[in-house]
Amino acid sequence: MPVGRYVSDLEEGDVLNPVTYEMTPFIAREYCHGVDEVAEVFHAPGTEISGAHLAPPTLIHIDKIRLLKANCPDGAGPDARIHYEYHAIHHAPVPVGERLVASGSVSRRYEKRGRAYVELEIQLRVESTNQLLTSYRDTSVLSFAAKETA
Amino acid sequence: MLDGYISDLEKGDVFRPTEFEVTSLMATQYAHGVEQTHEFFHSANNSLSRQVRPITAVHADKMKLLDANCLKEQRITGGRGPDWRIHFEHDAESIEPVFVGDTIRVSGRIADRYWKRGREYLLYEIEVHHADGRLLIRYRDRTLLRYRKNEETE
Amino acid sequence: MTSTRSAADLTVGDVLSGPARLMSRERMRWYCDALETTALGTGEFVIAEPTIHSDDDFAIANGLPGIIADGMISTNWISGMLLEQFGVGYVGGGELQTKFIRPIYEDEVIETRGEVRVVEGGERPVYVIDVWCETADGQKCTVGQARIPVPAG
Repeated sequence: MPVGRYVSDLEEGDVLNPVTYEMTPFIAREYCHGVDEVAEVFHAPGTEISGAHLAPPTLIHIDKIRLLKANCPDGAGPDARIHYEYHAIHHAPVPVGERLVASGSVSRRYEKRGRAYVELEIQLRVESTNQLLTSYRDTSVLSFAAKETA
Repeated sequence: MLDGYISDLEKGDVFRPTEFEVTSLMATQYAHGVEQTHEFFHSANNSLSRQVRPITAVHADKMKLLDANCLKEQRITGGRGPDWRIHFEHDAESIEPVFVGDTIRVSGRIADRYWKRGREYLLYEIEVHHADGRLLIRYRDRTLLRYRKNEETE
Repeated sequence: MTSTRSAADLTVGDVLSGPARLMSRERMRWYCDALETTALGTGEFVIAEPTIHSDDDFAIANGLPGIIADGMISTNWISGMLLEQFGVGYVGGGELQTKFIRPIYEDEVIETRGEVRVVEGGERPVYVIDVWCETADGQKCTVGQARIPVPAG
């Protein structure tokens, strides 16, 4: 059941329905390709850095997108969203091949200088063990154009 | 023979040259496809102060030349011939860099067509000149016309 | 290019730097496609629908002067600089926070930087590093901080 029709409908305290998926090599590689990240640790296993194939830590941003797509199926709302703040804490590497659960909630919704902001708190865990891999706080502006306020 | 399939090409065929402007999209997209992240290939913000096309993109020049000369098998626009070729050898000599914004003229010929161990090969000799006449790249490319062997000629 | 010192030997004031890169229209589009492709995650490649990062008209309709880069591109460039300096210790135990305080517009040259602010002692020493991306004329666009465990020397 969606939490909001649009992302702009989200309210403080909303708990997003979790999303479970497998972190595939394809996901890690395509993301890296999109941002010019050529470090081999994100493209293949058995590199000299770690011996494992890892996902880039910034992929946590895509967990936000997954959660929003699953919980707000009609998209951003009347205006395009603008990303304002990214804050990720890496508790452990994110291994490729693992099934993961992304969960989250709306920790704040507030107005500042005529613009509405939404702050999400997101966690990424291993499905089988519940191990916390990444904690992520994300702040977005719901509309770039400031609304006139009385 | 020109204007047919690539497999119709014969030793001695001379391609009609193709001329075009090298765009930023051509350079950056080719470099992106092969993870060449050096800024030389993505902007003019480098020691040469001009965006450079990757040298290996001469392979795409071959494709353009084939598209212009093998009208039954225009691969770039989705055409298919009877067999799928396999690239066997790339030998590019860079005389001068190809810069974004250059108009270049790609010319070439089939230097050889021959059988070896049951497979048929084409040898291309291609040159890339700047529109002002300077030679930029000399390229030899060897390609199997098809992977499947012809047992009779082995 | 990062600091010439090894990751275990950095001191306060040491500077990290990544390459200067043009925020081209293509780089903006590559991220849009990568975002949709990886969010879908099925193995199917997705061409993203028009966004403020890829479509001028769409961006202008949203009050922007033109397309702007997704903040995650500059964040990833910072992340790549940290990975190069600190290796997997950054991936498995680090922290990165960035804010997008100024839009990055098409064709701006962006440099990635870092400076070690504090080396916290204790049982698990940590580098606190100011990180940022700036334009060629020094305007900061993406700013933040990283906390990364000091590797064993």
